[in-house]
Amino acid sequence: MAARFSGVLQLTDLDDFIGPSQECIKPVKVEKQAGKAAAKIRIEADGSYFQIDQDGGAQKLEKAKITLNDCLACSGCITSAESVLITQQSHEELCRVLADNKAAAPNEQKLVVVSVSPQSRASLAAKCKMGVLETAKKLTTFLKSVHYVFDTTFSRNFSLLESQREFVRRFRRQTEDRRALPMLASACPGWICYAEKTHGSFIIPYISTTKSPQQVMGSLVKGYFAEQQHLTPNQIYHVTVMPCYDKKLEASRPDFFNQQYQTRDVDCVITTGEVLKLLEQEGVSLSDVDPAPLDTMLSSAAEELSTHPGGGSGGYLEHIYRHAAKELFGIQVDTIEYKPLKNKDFQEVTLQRDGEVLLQFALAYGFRNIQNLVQKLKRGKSPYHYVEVMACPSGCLNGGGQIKLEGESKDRLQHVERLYESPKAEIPEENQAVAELYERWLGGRDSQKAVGMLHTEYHPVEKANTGFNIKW
Amino acid sequence: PMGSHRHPPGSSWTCRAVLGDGHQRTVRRVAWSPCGSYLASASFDGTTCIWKRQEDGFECVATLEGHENEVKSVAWAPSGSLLATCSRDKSVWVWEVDEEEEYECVSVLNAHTQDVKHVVWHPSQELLASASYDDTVRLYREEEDDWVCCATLEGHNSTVWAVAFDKEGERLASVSDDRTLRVWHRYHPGNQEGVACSGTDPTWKCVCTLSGYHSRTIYDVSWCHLTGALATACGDDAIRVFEESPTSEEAQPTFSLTAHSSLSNLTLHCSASVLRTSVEAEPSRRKRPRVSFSRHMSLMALAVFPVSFLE
Repeated sequence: MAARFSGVLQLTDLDDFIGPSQECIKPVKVEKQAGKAAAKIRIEADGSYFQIDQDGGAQKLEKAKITLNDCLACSGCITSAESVLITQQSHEELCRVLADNKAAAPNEQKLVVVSVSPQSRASLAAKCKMGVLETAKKLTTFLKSVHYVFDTTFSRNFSLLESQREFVRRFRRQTEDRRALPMLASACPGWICYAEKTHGSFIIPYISTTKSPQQVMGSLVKGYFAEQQHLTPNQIYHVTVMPCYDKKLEASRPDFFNQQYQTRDVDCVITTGEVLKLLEQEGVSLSDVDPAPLDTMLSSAAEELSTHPGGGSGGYLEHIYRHAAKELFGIQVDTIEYKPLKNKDFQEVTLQRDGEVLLQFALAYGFRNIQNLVQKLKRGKSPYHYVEVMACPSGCLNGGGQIKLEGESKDRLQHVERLYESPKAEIPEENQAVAELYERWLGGRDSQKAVGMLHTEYHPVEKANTGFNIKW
Repeated sequence: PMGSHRHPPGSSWTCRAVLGDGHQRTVRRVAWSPCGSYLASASFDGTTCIWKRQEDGFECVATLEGHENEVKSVAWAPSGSLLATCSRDKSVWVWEVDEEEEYECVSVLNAHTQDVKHVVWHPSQELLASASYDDTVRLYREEEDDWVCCATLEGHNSTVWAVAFDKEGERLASVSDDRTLRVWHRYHPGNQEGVACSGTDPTWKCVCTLSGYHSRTIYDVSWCHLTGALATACGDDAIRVFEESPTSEEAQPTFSLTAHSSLSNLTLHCSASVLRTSVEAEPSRRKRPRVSFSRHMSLMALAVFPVSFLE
């Protein structure tokens, strides 16, 4: 049970111990009677409380009740219990929702959409011993009581494009803005939650404001797709399949809650492992399922799978590097050479011209490397312009929610990597559907709507130094 | 036989420096680097400070941050370039220092499931041991570009407060809230005794449990690398020294209590003073004790003065 969230999150005080919170939002209604003297309380032998008023009359007092639902609404105490967070969004929850949906009246039914991450698909493909395209098609069939199955590779195009442009903007203003660089990746919620909690306002200015592919998909599904289907956002139940548990926390962020329609952009996150559990529960072997055509959000979108090069965590470093080299220095980069440093999860990429260093980028995966990066940053000794920060060693393909395969761990991971990289590589700038959405739905790349749909904010978490939290 | 020397307490020690500005909370442990030029201090404020000895005092040259809460222990590896810290956040961190005195985290180990109380390095190898509130002792070593937990020593029934390696590093002593001292022996793959090993990692087996000697939690243990004697610090106000019996076997060592200090008056054959109190030991069974008691005590107690055996 212990090792569910990424190592980075486990170290950020997610307690099993439920301490009473001073932030408890449950208002306890007290019926106050106008009176002068304070009431006396008498405790009966059976534990019930009676209020004795001045003339001796006794009145039984109601016990204040706090239900689990009240607690889930509050950010204070119970929700830090891992088990609660996990069961709030799980495959069991999904099954329940699907069952309720089937039984519901037609006008109450929700459109269920599942967005599958390419990392989860690769992990499933490895487990079921199939190629990724086959896996995608069969998964579409398996999830038949779900109405649409999408691929977050599509929404990732937006994350990559926005990150690229954000970097160039920051690079150009680095002389006026001391905290423009290094720009730190924002797609990993393990890293974001840790950064907000442990380093707060020091680190937040450095983090890219671009939303992760999961949350861009949330905006797309509950925004564009809902409109197309003539539904309101709350009439869609959006599920994502992710390689880790930290994505469940990301989906629950208040910034991704639509106040107007009282609905989350992503309603439920299930891990790759949980999809496997669903398959096992139904007694289905994915390889025996008939393939179905892939769903696409736009009819003009391609009917085959595509991928983005640059590793299993999204390829942010590579995309931003190539774009920046071109935009800022007019250099066309062909192959990107990585220089491993202290360990394989910390690698550098340098762009040089005539002996001058133009761009210095790095990959920093895993807690120890994140530690060292932030400490260096605090001491003013970080030489980087951009760092692709990820909480899990070896990146998202090795996330905590991926399926554990038999055999040597290195070989297993390499096998998943090969499956992940197998589709044709696509260039985000050349994706027609993406360009169309920028135009039609967002009203242009720099529109206010684009910023609202594709970017987010971070909030430092204040450590509550209340008496309740001190552990002697 | 030693002549008897009596020194008034404190006369041969002077306070050279007070390092008062480094930490915001309790300083829980200090450790000198093998070269003697650096002092590491672990604090409840979550940081570990590295102090460099200067001509006129000490300067804080680095602050190791990262632990989520109280740091309980710090220890230098024999090579001097590695450091280990542990914390109530259940983790053990391994740090590396380079030629420019820059400290970097090399590994964050999350093997324990509870508060980690103590970390200690093997006397000659880059092998690390940790003791925890989760009742276990764990051992760690480097593997490729990371550190891994290579052994878990289970047996204690309560918090393990401290561990100590013997001189060769083939044995480890652990002390616990369960009031026992356990001695563990390392068995390498292919050992004669037929102890099974998984892969290339040695197995550690508990070969001796000393129970019934301590009436409260045992907080610290020290294994004398000169004489092989074990000393314990106990919540019952006593320090005990154990020596291996002459008939002890490697696979089944036996230890006996050779000195037990307590605050009550006992007639003595050997005496030692610790801090302000005169601590007296039980008579030794041997007419001529093999070793000088002062050597045992000096390694462990805060302020120990030469003691003599009375004839």
